[in-house]
Amino acid sequence: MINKLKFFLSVIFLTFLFHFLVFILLDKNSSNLNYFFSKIVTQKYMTFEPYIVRGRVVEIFFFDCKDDCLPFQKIKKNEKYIFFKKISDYKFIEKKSIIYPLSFDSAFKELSFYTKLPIYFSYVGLGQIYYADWSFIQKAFDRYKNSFLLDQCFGVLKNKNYIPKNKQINPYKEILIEHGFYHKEDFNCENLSLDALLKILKTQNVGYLIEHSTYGQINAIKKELCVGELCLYSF
Amino acid sequence: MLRNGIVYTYANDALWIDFFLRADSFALENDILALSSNLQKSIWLSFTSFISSYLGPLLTFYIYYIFHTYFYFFIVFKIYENLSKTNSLIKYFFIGIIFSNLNFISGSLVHLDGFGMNYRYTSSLLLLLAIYVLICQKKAYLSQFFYFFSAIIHLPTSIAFLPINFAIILKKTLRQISIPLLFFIALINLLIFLFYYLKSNIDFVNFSYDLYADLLQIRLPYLFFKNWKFTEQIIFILIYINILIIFFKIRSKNLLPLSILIFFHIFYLFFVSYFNNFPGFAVFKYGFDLKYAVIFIIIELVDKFDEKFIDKSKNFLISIGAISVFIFGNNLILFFIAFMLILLDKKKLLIKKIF
Repeated sequence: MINKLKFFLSVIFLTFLFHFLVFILLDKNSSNLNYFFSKIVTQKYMTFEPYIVRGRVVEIFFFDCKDDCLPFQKIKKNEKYIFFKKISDYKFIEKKSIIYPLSFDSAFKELSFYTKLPIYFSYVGLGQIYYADWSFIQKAFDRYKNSFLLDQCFGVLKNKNYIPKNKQINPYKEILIEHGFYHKEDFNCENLSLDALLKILKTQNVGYLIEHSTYGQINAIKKELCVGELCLYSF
Repeated sequence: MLRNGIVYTYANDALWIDFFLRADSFALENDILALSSNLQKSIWLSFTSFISSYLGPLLTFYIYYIFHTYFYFFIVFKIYENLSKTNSLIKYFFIGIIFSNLNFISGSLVHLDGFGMNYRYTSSLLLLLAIYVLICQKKAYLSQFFYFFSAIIHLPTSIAFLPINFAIILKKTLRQISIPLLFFIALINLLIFLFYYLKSNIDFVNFSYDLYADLLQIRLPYLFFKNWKFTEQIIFILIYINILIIFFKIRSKNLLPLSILIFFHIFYLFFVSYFNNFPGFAVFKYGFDLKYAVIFIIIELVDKFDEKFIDKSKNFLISIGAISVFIFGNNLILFFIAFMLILLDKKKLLIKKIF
């Protein structure tokens, strides 16, 4: 028994030693010791999501659960969580699309699970261009452009640093300009007003927008509900 | 023809995940996804939609998750049970902890998938079943059926079956020429080809390949070998080195089937490296062909554990390989140890049994 214990402890020690050597020799971040310990993934075996969250049936769907779903850990009811919960009870007008800041695409990917509304634009949708015909590609790029303008020219949320930002947003624009789909002026904020952009979106049946609470001091949009600094607008 | 048909007619990963996340709304009019017409083309997505309409997306999600997880381990253990010389609890434990980790076997995020909710996992499980039936039960015809269903759910995953399939079938055919079997295999592959070709209606005329390539560089930079981390590149090369060592150790009696196997792997490597700038082919990532090979390398390694003399140095190495996958989720140490032990160990290799 003692031999087996010795064997087991030696294995654990040598495992750490070998990985530490690999880390020192091959990893770019080898000066940061915390980075080495962050590579330990064993805690993920303890997560229960998506079956059950801490012994209860799932009431909110987190696709990417990570450490929040460890057993005996309380659900972190952050602003986004409460916002999703609140809008799931809101009565939306059916078939109106919803638009949110392009920079936060990954943060809002679960949104439609609660709203049951069509998404105006998402990078997931843009991935479909490899599978679709020409008319779809044109429409998808147009939607990208409008989402980009709404976010970059008039967005407030992008200046608030509480959810991760999407890094694809600008390189995508550059490629579309480079390949002649749009001109640089098409992405110029100076030639555009929020009213004009909202009119374009309205014609495409977009009815809702998620933005910061200080957003849009104009009559064209109406604040429906807010959770902290995150608000749902209709227009 | 390949561009137009063979790779475009199934739902992509993002779409599948989106199906569960966005429930009933993802195909609504005005939705970005609904603009694309390929939603209706995926047989597996249509089937899942049908189930989901009765059970709801969350319950369907859980059913897939549990079903995949159970059968993934079941088939892996059955393959191990059939190939290994001595089965013991500790060996099953090592097999379990290695396979319970989502091991990336290439920097392009190809891994031994089986437990989870992705549609690719169903395809992967059917492929595992095909390999089990072919190798352990020696039922060549039945395995082609599983391969066929795997291919129509996710074609790139099913690629992993081709090298081992042709190597074994060739060996069988050499022993006793089986024209009906060869005809049957040709028919199955032709059906897969026709299935994808006839469902295709993609218009590539107006769309520049340069644009595709640029978009791929942004959206999927991990497809390209040069963008991988250094450790990922080493792991990928180590798997090929392990296959080559196995080839040279058992080549004397099985030269022809083994050469076919190596040829398929090298062909696939060049195919990906040449074509992965084209979006139509980008679904064929580096490492799809290695999935089954990784299973055999791991089984080969774990089988070398000697329970009678626990203090042996090779036992230390095997345990370190398994535990390092469990703790760090990294295969580098595992495949390096496999490389050393397979090279130096004088025992007969298990892989001989499959030919």
